[in-house]
Amino acid sequence: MKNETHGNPFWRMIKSIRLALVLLWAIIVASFIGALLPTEQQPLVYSSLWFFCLVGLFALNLLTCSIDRIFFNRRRIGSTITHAAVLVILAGSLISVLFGFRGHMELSEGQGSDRFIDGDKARGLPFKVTLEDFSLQWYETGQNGFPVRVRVDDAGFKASLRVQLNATYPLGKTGYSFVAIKYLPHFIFNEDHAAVNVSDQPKNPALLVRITGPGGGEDRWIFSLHPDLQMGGDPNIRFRFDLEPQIKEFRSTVKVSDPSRGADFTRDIKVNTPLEYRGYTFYQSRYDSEGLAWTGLDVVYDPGVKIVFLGFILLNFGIIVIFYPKLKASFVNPQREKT
Amino acid sequence: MTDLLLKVSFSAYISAAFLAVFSSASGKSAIQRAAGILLRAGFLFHSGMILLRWHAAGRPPFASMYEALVLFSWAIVAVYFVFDALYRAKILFIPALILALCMLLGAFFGDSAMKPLVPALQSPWISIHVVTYFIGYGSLSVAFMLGLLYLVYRKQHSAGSDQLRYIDTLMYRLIIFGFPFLTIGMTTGSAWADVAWGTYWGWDPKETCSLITWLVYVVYLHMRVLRGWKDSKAAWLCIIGFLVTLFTFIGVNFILPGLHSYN
Repeated sequence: MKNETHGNPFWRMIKSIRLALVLLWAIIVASFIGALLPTEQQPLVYSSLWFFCLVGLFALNLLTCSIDRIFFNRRRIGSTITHAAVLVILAGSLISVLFGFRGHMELSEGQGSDRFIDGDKARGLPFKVTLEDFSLQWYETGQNGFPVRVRVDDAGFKASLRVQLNATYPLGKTGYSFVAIKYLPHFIFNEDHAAVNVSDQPKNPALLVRITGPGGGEDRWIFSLHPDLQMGGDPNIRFRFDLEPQIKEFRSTVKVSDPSRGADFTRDIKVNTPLEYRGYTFYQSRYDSEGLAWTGLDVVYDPGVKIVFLGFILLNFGIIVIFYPKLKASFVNPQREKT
Repeated sequence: MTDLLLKVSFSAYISAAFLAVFSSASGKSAIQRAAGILLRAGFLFHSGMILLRWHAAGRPPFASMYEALVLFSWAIVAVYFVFDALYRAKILFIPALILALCMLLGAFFGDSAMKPLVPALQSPWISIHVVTYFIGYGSLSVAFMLGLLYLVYRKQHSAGSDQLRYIDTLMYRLIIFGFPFLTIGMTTGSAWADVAWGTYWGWDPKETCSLITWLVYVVYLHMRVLRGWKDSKAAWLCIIGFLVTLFTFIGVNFILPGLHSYN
């Protein structure tokens, strides 16, 4: 960039640092405006022709600047790698935009398919994917106690507790105490009006508390999803069950059948563990929250991603090569000079 | 237990800060040494707290705003130690401590409950992505304090004085130390997004703002190296850079919804 005297005025302008800085500021401002827009309007910026041209012009600026540097200034190896890395990343993302596509497929248990939906059209896969099983795992509840809030009105008593099963909790000087004696993740009343658990999915978490108080004792069910439902006799003592069950893992077990290549295997797809086969990658993205009968997979075909990642490696390498040797140079600390 | 450790390290830091202010006023080096020892002790407790929480939660403790602020303050002190080792840059002692204390104060207001990780965050990428980012943030935040200091000194000293040149050089060193970490943090975040969602770049507000932050420092570095910006202009750019960083870290969570909106 020091050799700004080379070439004709147009070349000089295209490769100039001034243009680079103007474009950088323009990209910064445009990106920020885009971020302020609601998500569905963001493509107005990021997918627009003018934003594409802005980044394209920036790439041209970088390219010419890099060519200039390689031919006229061979010493700055870190800087050259870094600028080339940005070009590699932009080239990779251009390939993603031009040749990549993504879509979605929903599979019920036992169902197989060799097509997926991309916008309003169906795309074919060169192999078949069958859902063998979909399952959902929850974090164990109650390991660190069940979160319970309790209030005794006449004593003005309030407490927030993590309650262990079968432990007694005296409530200050109110004269009340309670024990949590049973937890059911999926509570229902059956025909005989008995409390039963119908699954291990926390669909209706309920805790049975045995209250001992001045007026005697009672057993009471409290529900995390129905805080106001308290079937108890003593209105002076109220409970809240604050359990928020959290999902630990979604797992789709799928079978890939590809007779043309003689491939036939079963894999688990989880969040953060996609399945990659023949350039297609399958991501866990949606699920049937009611019956756990189907799964939603995102299907991505992106030939640019490996190029982008190569660019990332080069970028990190180049930036470290530029800057870390500079940390070694000593410089004067005026205060230390004085003392 | 972790709460107690954090309070102990907070107390050590705040005592160290007072001692340092006192020693720079009185010029007694024994007090300064005591401040240094307190800082080290506080850092030890702080590190212990993070490790203990890691163990207790059974996952990297980098997932909530509380945990992020604890890590941020830890990174600020860690960066101070690096710069103390490299340049014996005692001038950073008080600015770094003020920042670290602010972050810890913020943490005390946050919710310290250990929540289990949602599936998207269960990945080995979380440690490298978050830790590198916060070391970068730590470095850039200390540079920001120096930027402010530069502007204050600029009123008292003439341009090009030794003191100003020293602050400017230190500010530049902090940025070139932090910038590679910022780059690693951003690119590993992108790689992780590809593993989790199949999009290495989705213009999520957090992603966009992290790119903007990165670009602001790119501008700073080019201005300084190619245009020789070493005066108040560079200090201002450094201040703006950190304000953008802060917006990326905190502002985005509250203002712009997206995949990174943890609380």
